[in-house]
Amino acid sequence: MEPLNPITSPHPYLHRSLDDGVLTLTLADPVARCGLDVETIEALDQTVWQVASDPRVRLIVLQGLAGHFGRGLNDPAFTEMHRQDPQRVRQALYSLGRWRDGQLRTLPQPVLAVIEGPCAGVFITLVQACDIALCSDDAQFILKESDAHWLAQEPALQAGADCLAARALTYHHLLGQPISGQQAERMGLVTFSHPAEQLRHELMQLLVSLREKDALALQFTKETLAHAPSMSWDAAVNFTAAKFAEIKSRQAAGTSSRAAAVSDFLAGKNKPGLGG
Amino acid sequence: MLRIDDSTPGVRLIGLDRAAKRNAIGVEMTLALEAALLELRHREDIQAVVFYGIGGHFSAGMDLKDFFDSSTRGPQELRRARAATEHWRCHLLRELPQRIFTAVEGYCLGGALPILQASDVVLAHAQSKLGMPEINFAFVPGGQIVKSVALMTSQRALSYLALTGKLISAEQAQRWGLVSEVVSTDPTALALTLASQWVQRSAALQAE
Repeated sequence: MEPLNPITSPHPYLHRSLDDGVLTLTLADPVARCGLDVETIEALDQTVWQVASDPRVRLIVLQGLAGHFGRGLNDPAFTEMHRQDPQRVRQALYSLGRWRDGQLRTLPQPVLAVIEGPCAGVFITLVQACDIALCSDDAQFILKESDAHWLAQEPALQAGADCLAARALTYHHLLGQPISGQQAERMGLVTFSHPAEQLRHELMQLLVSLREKDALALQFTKETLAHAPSMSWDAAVNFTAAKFAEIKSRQAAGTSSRAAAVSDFLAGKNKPGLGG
Repeated sequence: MLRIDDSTPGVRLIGLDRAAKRNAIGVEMTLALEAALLELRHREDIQAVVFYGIGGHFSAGMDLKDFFDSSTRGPQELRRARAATEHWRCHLLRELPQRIFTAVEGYCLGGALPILQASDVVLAHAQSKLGMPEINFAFVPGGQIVKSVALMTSQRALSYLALTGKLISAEQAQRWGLVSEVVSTDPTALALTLASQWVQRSAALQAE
C-alpha cells in the first residue's frame, strides 16, 4: 500500500491531483456549487502549507468543478459553524486573508486560477491572490453581500475592501451587474479571457511553457515580484544583488539549467523568447 | 555605442547604436548612457529627448555576455559598469528636466524597459515585441526592472511577463500600459515630430 500522500489525500469538497508536477486543486461541492465552507478552507490552507516545501510540485492550478469556479462562502454552513465554534470560523477567515495578502504570491510555485462560470464573493479575492488568472469569456464575477458580511468580521480581511472598492468593481456592485470575462481582463482582474472552447487549450500551453522553467528562478522571480515594487530604487538594487548572488550559488550546487541556457544562447543554439 | 543628433532645435536624438547585438546594453553602452544623461541634465537649450534603436531593434536588454556568466571583464570594470547602469536607470533618467519620447521597433526587452517607464510618450511599431525574457535563461529579472514595469502596468501583466518570459505584441503592450500608441509607420520619425511640436508649443506657452 502506498503511503498516504497529504497533498492528494481525499477530501469531500477539495479534489487534489498531482500530475507531472502540476498540482490541480478543484473545489467540488456540488450542492453549494463550489461554495467554501470552513472545512474546505482548512483543507486548502493545509495544502498551501504542504506545497510550499514539496519539490514535486512545480505549478498549482486552482479551479472549480463543472462550470462553477466558486459561489463564494457557503453561508448556511458558515452560520451553523459560527454557532458551534466561532473561533474556528475566525481562523478560517484569517487564513483567507493570508492567502490574499501574500501567501499564495510567495509560494515557490506559480499559482494559476482557471475561472469558468460564476466566481462570486470571496473567490474574487482568491483570484487576485493567484499569479496568473485565465477565464472564459462567459465567466461571471459577482460581488456578494453575504460574503462581505463574513469578511467584515475578520480584521485581516477588511483590508480586502481596498480591492473590492476599486472604481470599476464598485460600479458593478452598485448596479448589481456581474463582470464578464472580457471586462475582467480589461480591469486587470484576470490576465486573459478566452472563448470557453479555447480556455483549456490556452491553459495547457501555459502549463507546458511554465513547466520548462527553472524552479529556483521561478521562486526567486516570484519573490522579486512580491517585494521589489514597493522598495525604493536603491533598495531594489540591493535586493537584486543579493538575489543574483544567491541564485548563482544555489544553481551552482546542482545541475544548472541556467548555465546550459546561457551557454546555448551564447553559442547561438537557442534564443529563448526571441523566436529561436 | 550612442548616436547623438541635435539638429532639430530643442530636441536631442539618442540612438542606441549596437545593431549587431540588437542594441543589447553592454559595458561601453551603459557607460555612454550615463555620460550622455549627465551632460544632458544641464542642457537648458534642449527641452525634449528622443530615444530610439538603430538597426531595427530598440534593445534586447542587458548584454548577458558582457555583464553576467561569461563576462571577460575585470571585476573593477564590471563594478563600474554596474554602478553606471543603476545610476542612469534609477536616477539620471528619472530626474531629467527634459520630456522623453521613445520610439520602439523590433525587440524591447528586460533591461531596456526602464527607459520606457521613464518616458512621457512611447510609440511602438506594430511589429515590435516587448517582454521580460530573464526566466528563459533560468535567471531573475532585476528588482529595478520589476519596479519599472510595476509602475507602468498591473500586477497581472507584470506577473505574466516575468513568470512566462513570453514576448507580447505592441498592441498588447498598449493595452497593458507600456506603450502610448502603436504605429504602422516609422516610430522614430513620428516621435521626433511629436517632440519638436512639444518644444514649439512649450516655447509658445512660455512666451505668453
